Amino acid sequence: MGMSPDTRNKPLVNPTAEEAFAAVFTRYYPLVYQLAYRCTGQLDEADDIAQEVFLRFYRTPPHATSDVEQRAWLCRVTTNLGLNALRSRQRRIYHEEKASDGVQTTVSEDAAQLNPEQQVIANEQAAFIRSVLSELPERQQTYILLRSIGLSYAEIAQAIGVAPASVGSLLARAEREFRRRYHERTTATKV
Amino acid sequence: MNELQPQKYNDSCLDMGLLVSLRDGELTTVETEQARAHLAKCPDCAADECSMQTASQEVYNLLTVLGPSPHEIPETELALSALQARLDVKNRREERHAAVSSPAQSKFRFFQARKPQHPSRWWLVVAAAVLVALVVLPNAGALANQFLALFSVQQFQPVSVNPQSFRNGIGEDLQSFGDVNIDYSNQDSSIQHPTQAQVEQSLNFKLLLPGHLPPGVGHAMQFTLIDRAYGTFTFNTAKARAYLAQTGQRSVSIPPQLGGATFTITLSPGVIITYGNQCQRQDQSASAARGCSGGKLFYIGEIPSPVIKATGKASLEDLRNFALSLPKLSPGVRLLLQDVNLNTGVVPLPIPPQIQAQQVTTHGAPGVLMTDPSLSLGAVIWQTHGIIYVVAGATSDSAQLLESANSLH
Repeated sequence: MGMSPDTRNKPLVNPTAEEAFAAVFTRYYPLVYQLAYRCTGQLDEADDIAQEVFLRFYRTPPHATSDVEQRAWLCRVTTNLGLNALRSRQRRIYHEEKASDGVQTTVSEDAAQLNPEQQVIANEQAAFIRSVLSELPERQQTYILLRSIGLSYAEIAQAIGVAPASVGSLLARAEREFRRRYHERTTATKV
Repeated sequence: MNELQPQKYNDSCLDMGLLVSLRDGELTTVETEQARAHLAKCPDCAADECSMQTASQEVYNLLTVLGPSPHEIPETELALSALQARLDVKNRREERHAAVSSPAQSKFRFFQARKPQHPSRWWLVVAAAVLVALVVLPNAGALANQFLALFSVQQFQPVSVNPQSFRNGIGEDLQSFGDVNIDYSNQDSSIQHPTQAQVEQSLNFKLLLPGHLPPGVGHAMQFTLIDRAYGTFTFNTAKARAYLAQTGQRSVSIPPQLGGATFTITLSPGVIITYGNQCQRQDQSASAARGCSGGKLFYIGEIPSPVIKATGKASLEDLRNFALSLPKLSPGVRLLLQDVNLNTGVVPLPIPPQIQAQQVTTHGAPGVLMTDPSLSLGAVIWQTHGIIYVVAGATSDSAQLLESANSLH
């Protein structure tokens, strides 16, 4: 009984496209990883998400006709996966905190180089910023995250699906909201 | 949609959207000139712009806390290799899944020869895996030459594994550390459907057949010979050093005795017996459908335990210690390597979460019973007198599987 050739398992890209895929990966991996990390704050999780994004790109290449569209597609998928992962983790941590009264966080290499006290402060600060960010409506989180890693308005518009001319106002509103919530929270903490 | 429309205070003043766009250099040249001209003569807008700049700076400064810093971003080349490895694994898994789920074929096609000219292909895959898992075994200790090591499987120990734990970190590609060469003789594969007598003549051990088959399994049987194979792995220090540098593990030191050390694996001929209501006979043409059909699928594998030897100045333990010293070794592989017991020959058998596994005694030897109730598949594996036996079939009934396994004689 021989194995019949199974065309379903063939990659969706041909050998030439394999090279093109490697080129896209090489060009955008740092950006995708950075965005995933900003969303999740976990080195391993960011790596998993970045891998998943490119796996999807490989399996079902987007119909992107320009670099802007390609970059926008990668960032949209990364943000979706990243924010989903963060939401799930926050729910899990909420339950774990209730059970164990402690939060397990990944210590980044940067934080690991600090002394233990600085390390705790750095981790707490990052967790706090992420928590403030997660209070915003998801679209606003996305505007800020995409802008923070240097996407242009055209790319942000493409990733989110709005008119490029609207991005400025939407971003302004998101920044204002983030800042308002940040100050509310810090004031509440001090009180 | 109101949210999407930039709001203007009045006809001439700049709203925050325009100010932010100006800040980000996203306005056209004409718009920028107009905005600058307006700011120069409108103190309210200039004040707005100033406070927006301060506020924005605060926001993005806060966001930099989220990291990562440039040196925390994994090396792109390494990440690409990891993805390619993942794609390979995924493709292989899908191939296996396609083989398992094909309704017209056996659910245990994995155990069958896939092509007449390559009856031992799956075995080579197993052999490669075994080589990977066992090549890092320590010295058996019984041999006079302290640099010579010898190992063969004596017993399997089920170890629960999380497939995720194999994804993070470096895989286990021996090619990265040296040169792998596997030769297998196909002298027996010319016999398409050997008889029992031919099989017994080819094997270096006595063939055992079941006295009892689970209900619904046909009594016709077919033999598929598994060729002998011989593999070598020669450690190449330069190659290993280049790989370590490439994967960010430059700090790992390579024991000098590993340079040029050669490890071998010897696989003696084995057999797979397939059961069904009807099996192809030896006199039928090779182009006819192979294998057995009808009834519940059932297989028995009898394969001599592969023998691993260290033939140079380095022992298997040296190689294992070196593998364990790699900081980026995937946690799953690390766990398996650590679980190999050299003195007793106990080898960890990775069990994914969906498989139920329990330790059993078969023919007086410790074995492992694995069942997957969702697919109604089951298997028993054990080793006795140097032969690894596998009894597998389309049933997850533990009692039936064990009864058949114990009835081999």
